[in-house]
Amino acid sequence: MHIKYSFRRVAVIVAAAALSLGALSACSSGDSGGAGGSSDDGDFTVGVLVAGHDAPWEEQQADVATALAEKRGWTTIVLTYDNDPSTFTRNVSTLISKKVDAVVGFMVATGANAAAQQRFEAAGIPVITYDIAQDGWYFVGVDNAASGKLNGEAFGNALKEKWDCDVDLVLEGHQSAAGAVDEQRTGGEAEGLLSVCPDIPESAFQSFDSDGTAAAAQPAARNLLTANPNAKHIAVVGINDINVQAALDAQNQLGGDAEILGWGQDGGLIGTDAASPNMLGSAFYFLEGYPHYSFQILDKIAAGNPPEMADTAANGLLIPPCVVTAAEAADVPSGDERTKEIGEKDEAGHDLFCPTK
Amino acid sequence: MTTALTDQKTRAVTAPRPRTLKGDHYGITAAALLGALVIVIVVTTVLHPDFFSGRTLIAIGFTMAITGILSVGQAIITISGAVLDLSIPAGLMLPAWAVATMLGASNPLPTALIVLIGVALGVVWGGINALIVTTLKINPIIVTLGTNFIGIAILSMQFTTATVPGRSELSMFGNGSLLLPNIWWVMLVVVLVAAPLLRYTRSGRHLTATGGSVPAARSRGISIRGMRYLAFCTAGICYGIAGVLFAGSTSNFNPMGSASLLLSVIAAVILAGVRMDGGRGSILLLLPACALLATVQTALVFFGLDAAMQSVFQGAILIIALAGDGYLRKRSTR
Amino acid sequence: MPHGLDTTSAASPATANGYVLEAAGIRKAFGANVAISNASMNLREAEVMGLVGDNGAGKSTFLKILSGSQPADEGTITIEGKRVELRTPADALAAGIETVYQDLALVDTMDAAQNVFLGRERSAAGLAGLFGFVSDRKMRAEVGELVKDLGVNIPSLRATVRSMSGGQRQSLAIARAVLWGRRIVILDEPTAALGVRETAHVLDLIRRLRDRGISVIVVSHNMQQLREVADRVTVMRLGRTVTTRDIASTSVEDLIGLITGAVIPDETISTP
Ligand SMILES: Nc1ncnc2c1ncn2[C@@H]1O[C@H](COP(=O)(O)OP(=O)(O)OP(=O)(O)O)[C@@H](O)[C@H]1O
Ligand SMILES: [Mg+2]
Repeated sequence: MHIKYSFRRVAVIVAAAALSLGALSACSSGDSGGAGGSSDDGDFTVGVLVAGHDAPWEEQQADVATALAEKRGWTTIVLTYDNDPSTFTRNVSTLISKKVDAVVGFMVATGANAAAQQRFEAAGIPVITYDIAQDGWYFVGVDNAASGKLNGEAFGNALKEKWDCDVDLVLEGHQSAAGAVDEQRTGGEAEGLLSVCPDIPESAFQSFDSDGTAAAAQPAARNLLTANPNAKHIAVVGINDINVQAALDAQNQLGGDAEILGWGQDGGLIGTDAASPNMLGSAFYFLEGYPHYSFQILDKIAAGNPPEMADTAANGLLIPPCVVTAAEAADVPSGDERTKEIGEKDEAGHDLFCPTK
Repeated sequence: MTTALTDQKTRAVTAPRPRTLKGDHYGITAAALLGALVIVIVVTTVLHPDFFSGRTLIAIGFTMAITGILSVGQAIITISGAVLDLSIPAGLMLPAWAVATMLGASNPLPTALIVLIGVALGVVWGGINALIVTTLKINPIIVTLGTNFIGIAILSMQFTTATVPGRSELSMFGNGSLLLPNIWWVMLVVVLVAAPLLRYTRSGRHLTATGGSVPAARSRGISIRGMRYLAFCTAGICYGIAGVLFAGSTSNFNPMGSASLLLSVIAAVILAGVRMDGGRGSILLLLPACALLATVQTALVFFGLDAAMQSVFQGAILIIALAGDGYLRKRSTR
Repeated sequence: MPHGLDTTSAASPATANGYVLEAAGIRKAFGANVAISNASMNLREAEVMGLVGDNGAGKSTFLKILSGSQPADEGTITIEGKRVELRTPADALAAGIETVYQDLALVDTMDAAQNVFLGRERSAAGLAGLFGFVSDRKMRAEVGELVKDLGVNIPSLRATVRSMSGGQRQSLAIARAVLWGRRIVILDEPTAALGVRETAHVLDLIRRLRDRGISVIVVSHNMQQLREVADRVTVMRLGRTVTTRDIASTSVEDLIGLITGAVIPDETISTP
């Protein structure tokens, strides 16, 4: 470089940036934290941890929790940590110092969870974790194994009807970073499909991997489809709608006379304009409605008789997936409407909205 | 162009003849890239005959189109002496998000207008970077690292998942092909327009000179500030076009969705032999560079290798390219 | 001649007092370090002015101010009787001042022709020219002729400057100044890197510039050389211009004395 950039100037900018970021996070944790204050006043206070803004349901979960707490005359302190472990740890300190009576939330900063568990336990604060298990925390989460199995079976039945199970390529859209969840959902969906169509050869199952974004999933699926040019009937399973949709898009781009059908999971795209007509179905988890389940545990804690610890995806409180076809999905109300209704009625999303319950 | 490889002894004999083109090995770079491309294609085809097909061509075309357009912008930045633009993810996502939002409106504007607005937003993004670089006089790498961070953060507050209506004209175009993907042809046009503009116009030359030596360019009356704006805004046009095409070929995406493109873009620019210190580089060579990266990616799938292995290969190619470049440079500056 | 060596385009008649350039009371500090405390110079039309002084006396800084690459803190500059502000190199170039810097200011990654025409590229013919396209063919031809005409020995017009020897770069930078210099050409130690033959060549170029009516300021540590080529010489010492003498009536010993401070000038050109 020919320009000499003054290091002092750089330092000033970096410091300014750090300060403004600090101010920002202070604001974001301050705005909703104001409701709390110290809670050793006999009042029951719930700390609500929001991971970030990656999906609409993250904030909707907090909205439902706040509504359900209000119904019970409780207080909530909502804190967001933007998927950042150090912010998460600071949020933990805040909740402990505010002496909340319990904490619920989506704890994606997995590296920081064990330490947080010890601190909460030392402070005598019970915690309910959504979807990500942690020893010592009550587990509430979708039944991923059931999701994989039920979606696979539904997809298998659809393929049996359409192609008489004559499938020569099954694309599995994995997100291996999700670990056990990926195995249960993606692997489970493939197994479910195989249980209905047992004659599909093992060699027909091929996997691609993505980081959960279409930008990564689409080229991966496209290359895999290219490498299998002779498949005429292609089935796509995946951990979520985005991965399945990416493969459907890729096939659309490549053209040719092969037929492709997919079945997603998690309900992210099904029933919307963005879903391909070739996506036959998916499953809703009604994630915004998780607080309905966690508050059943909180009710017992507030009443002074906490339930026995159930902290694994095997013995915890499991939420049933709502498996739907694309047509059924179109009739399910939007996330915003669901959030409002669950908050008002304090009933399970599955009971309120699942057309196939 | 191959004189740089001429044997030292032969040159000594013909000593009175001018030594030419030291440090300039576009010819060698082109030959190396095309050679590697041919080898990858031949080897893969021999072992997996299915590889050699129109479908493969389309797949590779899709993979290289957006990276290719972005790498034109990145190369312009690098040649102009601003080293690297790390804000490419945000520079692409801003127009992509705006386009997706406008297409999804209940009464959408005409597609042509939406495209124009998307491209204009790319230019605005480049202008913001240039404004900060020139007024605060901070290293562009640090500025763009910061603006990318802020840009993605602000976009994250605006949306979580953007969806593009599959029946919109832009999606039809973006997913369609004419021998090769439509978006690949757009990339080709971008490269074929940008290359002569940079090489043979007055502005392109001044931009290149600024990258070669700021004091030398300034002493000839060239406005360094003006050149920074020119570089970032021209790159912004590329980001805008790439963003529009990204929206047209990706049915749904989130604000982080373009982060993985940055590494491929930088890899392509390095592979094309663009001088990282600025002042020199060929836009045309981005074509074989992007083609090689995309072809290797697709070929590896034919060999049944997964994503992690693909990264290993991409890294290896880069290291080989850098080593070769360093070797040539050492030879030619002796 | 196509490359601008014809004398018709050379300097217009100087002003009433006969000075092409008048610089007075120039001061320049870098932070606490005062590089020039008071420098002045009156340059006549078609004369070669030597500028001498010890290392660090402020010669290069003075020249950089006259070429617009560093603005002065104080002082006035007048060109042909008109006050000018030389804030950027573009200002100086527009005023007809061409400079060959001590550090040459060539773009390493570009070839000879591109460097010579940098900032003043020849347009391509027709529509392409209107769109800002340049003609490398034209520029190469002109530079080829210029180089031949000046007897400059550079390897190839297509070779990047990086591949040239120090002397070749120097020659090229001077050739560029010769091509573009309209009123004043400033040369900072132009022969420092050159061999005997090339040095003689540069001195010859300087004379030819003068013959075209152009004024030249040349910095050199070689008194013998200055006696050969200069008409007058200005001495700088510790950031000041201490005197200006006719070279013909000043001995080398006197010059050295003035430079080192052993000889105190009886008059001073630094105007109050
Ligand atoms: N950019 C700068 N920053 C700080 N000090 C400078 C700068 N340029 C020059 N100086 C200082 O100004 C003084 C004059 O320097 P200058 O280069 O003008 O001397 P010179 O007469 O050209 O010397 P030489 O004969 O060695 O070329 C020196 O003390 C030098 O250190
Ligand atoms: Mg000097």
